[in-house]
Amino acid sequence: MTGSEVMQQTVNGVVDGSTFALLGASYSLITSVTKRFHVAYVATYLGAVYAAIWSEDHLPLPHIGDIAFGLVVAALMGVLIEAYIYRRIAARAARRGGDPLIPVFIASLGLTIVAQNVVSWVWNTQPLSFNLITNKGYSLGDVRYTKLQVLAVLLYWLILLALWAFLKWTKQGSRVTGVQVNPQMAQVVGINTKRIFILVFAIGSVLAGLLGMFESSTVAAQPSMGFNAMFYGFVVAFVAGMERGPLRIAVVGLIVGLIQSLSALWLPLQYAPAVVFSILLVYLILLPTDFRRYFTRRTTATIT
Amino acid sequence: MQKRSHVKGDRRHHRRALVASFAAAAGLLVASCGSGNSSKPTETTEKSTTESTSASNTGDSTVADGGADFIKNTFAKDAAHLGGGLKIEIGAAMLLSTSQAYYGQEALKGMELAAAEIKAAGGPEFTFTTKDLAVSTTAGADGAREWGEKGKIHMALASGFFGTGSMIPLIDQYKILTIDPGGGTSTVFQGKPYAWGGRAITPDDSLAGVVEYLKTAMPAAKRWAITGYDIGALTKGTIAVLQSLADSVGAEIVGQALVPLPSAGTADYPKAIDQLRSMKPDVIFNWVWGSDPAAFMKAYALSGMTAPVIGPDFGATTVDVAGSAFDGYMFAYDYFDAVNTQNPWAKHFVDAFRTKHGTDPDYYPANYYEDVYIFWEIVQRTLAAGGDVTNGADLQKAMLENLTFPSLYGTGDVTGSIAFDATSHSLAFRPMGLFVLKDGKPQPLAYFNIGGKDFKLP
Repeated sequence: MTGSEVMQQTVNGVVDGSTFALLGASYSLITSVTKRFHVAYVATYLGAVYAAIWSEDHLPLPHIGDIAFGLVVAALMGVLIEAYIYRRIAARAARRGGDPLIPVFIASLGLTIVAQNVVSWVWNTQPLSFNLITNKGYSLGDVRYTKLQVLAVLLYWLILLALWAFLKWTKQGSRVTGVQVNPQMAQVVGINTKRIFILVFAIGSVLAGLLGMFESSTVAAQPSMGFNAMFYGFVVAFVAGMERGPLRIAVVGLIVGLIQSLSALWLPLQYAPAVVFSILLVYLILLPTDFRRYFTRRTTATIT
Repeated sequence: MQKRSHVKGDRRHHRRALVASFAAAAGLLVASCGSGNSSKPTETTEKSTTESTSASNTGDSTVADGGADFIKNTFAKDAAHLGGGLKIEIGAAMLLSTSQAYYGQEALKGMELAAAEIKAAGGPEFTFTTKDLAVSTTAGADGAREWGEKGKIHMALASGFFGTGSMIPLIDQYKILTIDPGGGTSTVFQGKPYAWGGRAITPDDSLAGVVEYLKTAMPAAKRWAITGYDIGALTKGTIAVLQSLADSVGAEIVGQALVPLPSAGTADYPKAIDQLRSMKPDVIFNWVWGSDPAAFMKAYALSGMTAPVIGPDFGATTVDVAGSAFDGYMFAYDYFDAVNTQNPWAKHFVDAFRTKHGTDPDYYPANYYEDVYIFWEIVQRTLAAGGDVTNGADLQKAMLENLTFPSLYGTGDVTGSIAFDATSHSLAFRPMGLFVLKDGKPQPLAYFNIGGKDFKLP
């Protein structure tokens, strides 16, 4: 192991960790506030990319317009999923005195599969190119990095800081936190919880879409994209604590990314993904947590 | 950013994939045991005319005659045993949904074209009953069992190493003569009863030819690095083949950077490339398939490395992903070169495929097209020998009479040829080559056969 190898893996770890940070923060924003097991995060991740591709092919927009179009579509998808699917399923479950967790999860999984198949149908299953920017590689000594990686790290941390500031210092952010902490009390004090749900789905979905665009720029747009991202987001948010603030989740994401990347110095590369899930396993064993707590309201109220 | 031009596939096949995928979703959500029946017959829809305008046998088929005379003259030799009037159902286990659906959809195009031509030439009416291997890991086995119990299917085409082996016990049990032209036998499923590999073992069978090329054209390239999927025993076997070849030419395998077998396009190639850089290789053997060679090269182009990358696969539809980063990528396997066809039958096939689908066929439609013709040849032999075409044992006996068959691959006055090995059931003779991409188009660097035999530069 040489110094340059350690430096290279550290750089890779920062890039991966920053991605995990935003995945975790965006996933937990939705899940911790709404208590929906939102597998269809994958659908919005995917939807943004393919909407941008559609825009590239059909709309006379500049490239930034295509990107914006994709992100708007992702936000709309998230909002519509909450307003017309999850909310109705949760309401029905509540009327029957049941727990909406599993019905919402199944609907969410179904939506994701449908979204993947619609994309496969419309665009074929072959990968497509969608690049946020024209990428370029650079060297710093023996360490390589790309323009896209630099942009990703800077943008992700800027967004994480903005998200933290939004939740901490804005009135709307306080409402989100209020619903997250105690939705019944939030309703009592006049917060429209439905609107807050819509808001967090919109924000989380835009971030999912942005992450999807970065993935497609690194690799390619494919109908199967998004599941890995959702799992990483879930693991990071779960280990950090779903209801924690975005910066704490981000730090955990960064650490997970660094551990996974640096593990490649000792482990064959093919075992790197196992490292993240080993962290989750160790966490679950050492710090037993009631998994369902993350998806169940402390109060008896169900937001319908 | 440039606007993209899509190659949109046959919408009918997309619908089929969509339906199969909904079945997959339903299977996941409701049954959760993968026992849903997604098989359904597909009808050949091509209308081949029997009118002919040319009796020549050079493969210069035209849109007007559909090359019917060429097919008749080449394949319908014994008018008494062509199988005309017979309806023969062929099982087809292939990937028809998910991100790999492209392969199954393209294969079906080749099969349906072959079936239409064969019927027009006086042969049997071949129809295909598909089973989507993407539905579950046991879909291949489910398909073979259904076909066997139904008792109407005695020949089948498979994919992905016979549904990664799941079909093998059942095609033996029900005596279903099965060829896998998508994955071949691999090194793991050789010599299994009724299971035959319809393509070269990739990349193993091509490595000797590649090494011969390196010896000839790049004699100073002695430091070889390996990257690609870690597929356990298969990868270890391939590494052993390469190690042996390296020893034979005084080269050194300087390291491996393997990645987990991913969902397509999700492997972490930048990290693998970082490891490769530290190995300072002269050549990189990259064993990934599908769209992943493009994803790898997209990342590789940013790495500052210049060592040639030699892969086992290339799909024209992936060029858009890598763009100019793909230039210089080399690949070696039994690639079907639709631009530089080497025999009249291949030219006929390309013309007919272009006419029908508006695109060039790649090796998937080519291989499955070719193997439907192999089945016709076997049917003719079986009938000529007084055998029963509804008996898998009779069919295999007819196949074993002569394991050499006409092929789209390789040179020949009318067709090329391939030959199966009676023991391994893999191909023993299969023309292939090493190609390099220039402006997204493959250019041949060398032609050879399995094990580097018949090596020649173009």
